[in-house]
Amino acid sequence: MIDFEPHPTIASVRDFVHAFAESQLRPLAREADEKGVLPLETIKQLAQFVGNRASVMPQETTDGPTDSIGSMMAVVGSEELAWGDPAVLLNIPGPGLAAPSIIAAGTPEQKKRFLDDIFNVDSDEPRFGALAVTEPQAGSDVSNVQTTAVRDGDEWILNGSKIYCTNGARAEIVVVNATVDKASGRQGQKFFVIEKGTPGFKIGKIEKKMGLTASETAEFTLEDCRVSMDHLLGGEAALEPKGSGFKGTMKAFDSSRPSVAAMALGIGRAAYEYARDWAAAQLPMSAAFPRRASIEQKLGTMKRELGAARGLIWQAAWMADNKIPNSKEASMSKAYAPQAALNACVGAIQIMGPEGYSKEHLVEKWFRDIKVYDIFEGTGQIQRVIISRSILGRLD
Amino acid sequence: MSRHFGAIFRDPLVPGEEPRRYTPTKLDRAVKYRQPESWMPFDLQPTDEQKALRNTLHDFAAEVLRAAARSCEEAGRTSPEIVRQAHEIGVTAPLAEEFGGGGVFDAVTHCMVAEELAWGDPGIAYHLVGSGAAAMVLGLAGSASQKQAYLAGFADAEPAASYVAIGEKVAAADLEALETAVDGDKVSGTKYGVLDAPAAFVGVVVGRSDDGIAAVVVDGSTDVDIVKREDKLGLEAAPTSVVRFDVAADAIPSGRELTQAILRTKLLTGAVALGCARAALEYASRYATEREAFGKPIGAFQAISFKIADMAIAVDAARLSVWRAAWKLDRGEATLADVAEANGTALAAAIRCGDDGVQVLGGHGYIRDHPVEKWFRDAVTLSVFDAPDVVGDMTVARSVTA
Repeated sequence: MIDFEPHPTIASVRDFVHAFAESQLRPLAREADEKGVLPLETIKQLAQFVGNRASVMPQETTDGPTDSIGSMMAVVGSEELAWGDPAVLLNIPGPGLAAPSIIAAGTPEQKKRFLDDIFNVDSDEPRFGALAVTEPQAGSDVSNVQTTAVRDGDEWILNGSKIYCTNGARAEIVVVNATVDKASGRQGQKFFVIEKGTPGFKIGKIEKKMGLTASETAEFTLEDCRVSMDHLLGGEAALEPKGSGFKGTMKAFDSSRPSVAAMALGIGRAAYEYARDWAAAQLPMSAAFPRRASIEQKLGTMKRELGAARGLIWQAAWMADNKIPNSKEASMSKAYAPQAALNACVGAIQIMGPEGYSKEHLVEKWFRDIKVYDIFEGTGQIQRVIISRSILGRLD
Repeated sequence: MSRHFGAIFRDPLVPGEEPRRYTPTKLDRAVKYRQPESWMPFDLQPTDEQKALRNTLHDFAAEVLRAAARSCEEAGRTSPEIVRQAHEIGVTAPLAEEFGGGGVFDAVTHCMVAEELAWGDPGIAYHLVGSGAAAMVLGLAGSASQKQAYLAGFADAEPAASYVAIGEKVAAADLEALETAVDGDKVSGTKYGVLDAPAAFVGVVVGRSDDGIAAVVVDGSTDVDIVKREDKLGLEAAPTSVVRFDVAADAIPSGRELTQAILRTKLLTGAVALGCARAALEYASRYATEREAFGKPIGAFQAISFKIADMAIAVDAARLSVWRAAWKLDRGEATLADVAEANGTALAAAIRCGDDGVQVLGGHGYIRDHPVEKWFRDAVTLSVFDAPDVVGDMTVARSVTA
């Protein structure tokens, strides 16, 4: 039956996370943005608050009612956390994007070793995981990845360079894709786990970005970086012709795209609510005020588009929770939400006029933060390729 | 029309030709994967009854409405035969069994009915759904005597015409700016887009009283001034008039029921727009896989395939928005802003899909051999009643800034 009332568990999680975001994340936003980093003490506090298990990714499986609402939980939580602050959100310790690839392709031993043993423990030190796919010459065109892995007995030797890796410099483990068989294209790419401190794993510069400045974006190189066979996700079986290839592993991200879309929605909603409340308090919103109608018009469009984004996100999450293939719908949410949110951020700046671009308010920061959501985790254009192929089939 | 299209595209709008069959959407197919015993709260799974009803209406839309769309458009009204068939299916006027109907259905189902009929043809759908809206309003909000007097009329063997008059020249569809005055048992004001007024046996006129939104029942025998028959850009199968009311009428008790019923009438416009958008998306998608240019199907070019992707996003966003507003209506909680938000999303989708639908077909889209040019005209005509950029979004915002 059509029902838009969230599960009671979801509703209480939303309220709890919102309170956390409002009290813990939002107050850190400006200073974190200016310094480009969050103090270690603050990260430790965040870690204590949520535990290292916390991840913006849905859990693989859990017991009880969360079994079939995990994706909904992830999108609702992501929206609220990003509403608090998206950059601080990315500083909350956890396996991050390393989790879905390990869950999708890893052996039971690898899941225990690289996820449970590292992240599912009580520790004072914040621990991060990371995923590195992008290279200087290959972003959306993943088939052009140049990093190679060459077998040497029971070991692999990796060479190549990766960029734009969130939390890459401080991660305990980084999952990278590398070509083991160039002739097989993307199917010839396999995922490897690189542990912090492995010889040949060299961190390069930390990027300075338009927004999300407090989120660590690192580049690194692999120079004759040796890992043992048990670091190849899926083990030796992954090398068989039907072994877990790149495409299969990336399917795991059908569940993460709605969460990233939900983060974008949270940023857009923050800007919309801020501009709405600012206008009510600061502008003479009476009939005689000449700009009143245009401001109402703008606010209404912002709210409508954000509402549409939430519908698309919740649809994709609901399908995932009910084991309905949702590749198209996940991409729809990821294609639409960042644009709706960007419109909201630009609109908020325009409504607030000279106070909109001022650093006294956070809307200028949200505008800088939001832009990347239409780029990372698959650009809006790649999402549209996925959507149109699922409708039209492969035509080229 | 080129030979290429003569072979591939049998125009579903030419009478006598076999209509195109329904291609289920991804969601329709996908839900067959797993049917748990009970769905968790937040659920997008229609009930079995809703699915069966959608299938029935889809066949009706594909086989009957598509084939008759052009002839009804030229005639300026839906053919009596189609009105009768829809009446027999029993979905145009939700009517309780005690008044001889097949049962009152909820707003979500009502929107599904409107979407499916509008997928066949938005003009015919607007006529069929609109002619039963008065039964819904009276059933939900009418006094006992009003129900007694009129509802049985909707259950007659012969389908009956009726209207719910909302739109005005100055206010357009802005319920908060209506100028029609309801004063006790008198109503005065000029309404635009009044459906089939000369034939109606009963009508509902929405206006404002000192207490806010108000509505009256106008008996078909009342001598109202039909100023002119509207000659429209689109939706021509739905005959509408400009009507001047300055008559004695029977006030409908005001209150939550009345507001919700009027909001539901407005939401049906959004549901028709949704069906219109989906029709254009599906037609353009199929065309993009079959038409070739530069040695490839045009859908292989991203200038085309990205349009298809954006149309698909707009259609899903519209459906979710409309369903959400309908679900709130069924809980008695919907606000004007909820409905304005849903209609804004649906009408934006209809206009985008109409425009891009024509564009994907290129010159063929502009020709009446294909239906997309009609759907584009229908979408723009529908948008008069709740244009997001002119009325809807301001209504959304007013609820939070006022």
